[in-house]
Amino acid sequence: MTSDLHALHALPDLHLPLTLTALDPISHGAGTSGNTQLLRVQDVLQPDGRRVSVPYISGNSLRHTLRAALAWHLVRTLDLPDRALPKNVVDLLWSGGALSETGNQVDLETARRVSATLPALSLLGYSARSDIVAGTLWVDNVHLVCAENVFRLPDRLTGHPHADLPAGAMRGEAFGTRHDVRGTAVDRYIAMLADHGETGMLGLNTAADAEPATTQMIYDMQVIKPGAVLWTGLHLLTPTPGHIAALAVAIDEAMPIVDGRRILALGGKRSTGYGSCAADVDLAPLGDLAALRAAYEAHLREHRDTIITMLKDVVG
Amino acid sequence: MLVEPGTIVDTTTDSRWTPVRVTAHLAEPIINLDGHACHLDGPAAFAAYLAYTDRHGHHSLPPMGRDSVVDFALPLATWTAPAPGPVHQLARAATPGHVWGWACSAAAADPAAWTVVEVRRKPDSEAMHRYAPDRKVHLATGPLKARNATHPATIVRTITWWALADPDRLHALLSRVPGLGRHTRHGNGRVHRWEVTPDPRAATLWRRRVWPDPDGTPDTIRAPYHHHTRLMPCTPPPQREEERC
Repeated sequence: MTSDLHALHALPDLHLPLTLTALDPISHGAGTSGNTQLLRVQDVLQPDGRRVSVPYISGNSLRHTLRAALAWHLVRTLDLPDRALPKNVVDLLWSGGALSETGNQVDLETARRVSATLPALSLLGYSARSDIVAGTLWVDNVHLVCAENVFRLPDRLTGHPHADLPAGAMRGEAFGTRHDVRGTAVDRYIAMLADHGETGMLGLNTAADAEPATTQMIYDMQVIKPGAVLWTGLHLLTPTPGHIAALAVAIDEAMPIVDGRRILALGGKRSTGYGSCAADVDLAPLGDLAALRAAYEAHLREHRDTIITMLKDVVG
Repeated sequence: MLVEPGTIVDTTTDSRWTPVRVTAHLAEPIINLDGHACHLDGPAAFAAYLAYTDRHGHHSLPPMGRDSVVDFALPLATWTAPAPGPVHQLARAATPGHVWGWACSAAAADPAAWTVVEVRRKPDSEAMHRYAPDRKVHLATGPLKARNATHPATIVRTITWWALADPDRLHALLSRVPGLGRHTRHGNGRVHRWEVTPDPRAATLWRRRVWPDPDGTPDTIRAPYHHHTRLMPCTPPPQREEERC
C-alpha cells in the first residue's frame, strides 16, 4: 500500500460535497466600521437582476485550514524538533511558499520528487525558486443556504427550510470584552515608583509614577448565526494515490470527530469559541479512511530523511 | 492528444464540425474576465490538459519553456491565416507563411456589475516561531508579507462563445472545468453548468475573435494565450449586440 503513494498516475476526479451546520457564531471579517468588524459578503446577482450582498466564508480560508492541518500533521508525524526548519520551508508548508528566483524552465524532476515523497505539497500547490506548481485540490467558497442562493443551491439542499429565508435572517452580532483588572485584588502587584524606584521590586523597569490608564475595551463583530446551514465542495482533479491519502488525512485532521460528529472550525476567532460547525461529509469516495491514514503516515516515516532533504532542495 | 507542430490545415469548411453556442452559467464572480478576450480554447485546453494527465500521469508533459510549449488536440475546427509578419515557428500552420488557431470566438458576456474579491494573506507566525530558527520576521515586507490582496471581479450570470465543434466531445471536455478566471482553486469563477447547443448563427459568429493583422497590435492567437510563441500583430475581437444571448 505504501509504495502506491509514490505513483504519479492520475486517478478519476473526486468530488466531496460538504454540508455544515453552525454550532457557534461564525466570524469572517472584511474590515471594520467604527468599532464593529464587518462580515465578508459576496455581491450576488439574482435571477430577476437584483443585486444582493450575502455573507460567505472564502474557499481560500478553508483551503488554508486544510494546508495548515497537513503541515502540523507532518511535523508531528516526523517528530521534528523545534527550530528544525529554515524559515522558507515553514512558509512552504504552511503558506505554499513564494517565488524567490527568476527562470523560465520548470524543474520537473523536483516536482516529481515532491509528488512522490510529499503528496500533501502538490495536493495544495506551491511556489518555490522560479516554479509555480498548481495543486489538484479545488475548494469551493462556503455559502449559506438562503433565498438569495437558491439559484446555485445543490439539489440536496433545495428543499431545506432555510432556502425560503433571506440571508439577513442568518446575520447577527456578537461582542467580546477585554477586562482591565484595575480595581481588583490584582492592584497590589502593580509596581509604583514611590514604592520601589524606577526598576520596581524585580528589576523589570515597569514602575509607573502615576495611576496607569485603563485598557478595558469592548469589540463588536458581525457574525453568521448558530444554526445557519452552509454548503461547500472539495474537488480533486486528476489526483494521484498520494493526493487522495493526503486529503483523507487533511480532512481527518481539520475535521476531527468530537462527541461523535465531525467538527470543522470556520472563519476567525476560533480560539475563543467562534466558528465551530458540524460537518456532514460522505468520505466513502476517498476509500477506507483509517487505512489511508495509516499508509500515509507509514510513508512519511519511511521517507523522513528524504522528505527533509527534499524540502530544503525545493526552496533552494 | 497533442498536435504535431506545423501540421495544421484549415478545417473550418469540413462538414464534420457543427456550429455551436457554448454557455457557461456562473455561480460566483469571476476574476479577470475583462483582462483578456477569454477565447473558448483557453478553458478547453485546460480540460485537455487534465485529460492528458489522466492518461499519462502527472509531470509527464515536456516542460514549458521560452521555445517549448504543446498544443492539445481539441474537438474544434482549425483556421489558418497568412502570418502578419515574422512569427515563432510553433505558431506556423502546415501551409507555408500561415499561422493557425482554433475556430472559436472570444467570450461574450453582459456584466451585471463589478465587485472585488479579497484574498487574505496571513503569515503563520505560530509555525514560524516554533519551527524556524530566525530571531525576527518582518511582516510588512517580502513575498509573504501580511496583506489583503484585493482582486477586481465581474458579476455575470452567463458567458457565451461560438464555435465549430464536435458538440458531445466539447461538452464532455468542458464539463471538467470547475471554474473560469483567476483564483479558481479557492472557489472563484465557479461554473454551475456548461451548455453546448447547435446553433447555425455560430457558422459566422465564431469569427468574433482576435485575428492576425499586420496593422494590428500585439496579441496572442491560441491557447496557452500567455505564451509568447503565439504573439503577433492582431485585431481585437469586435463586440456587437447580436452575439449576446
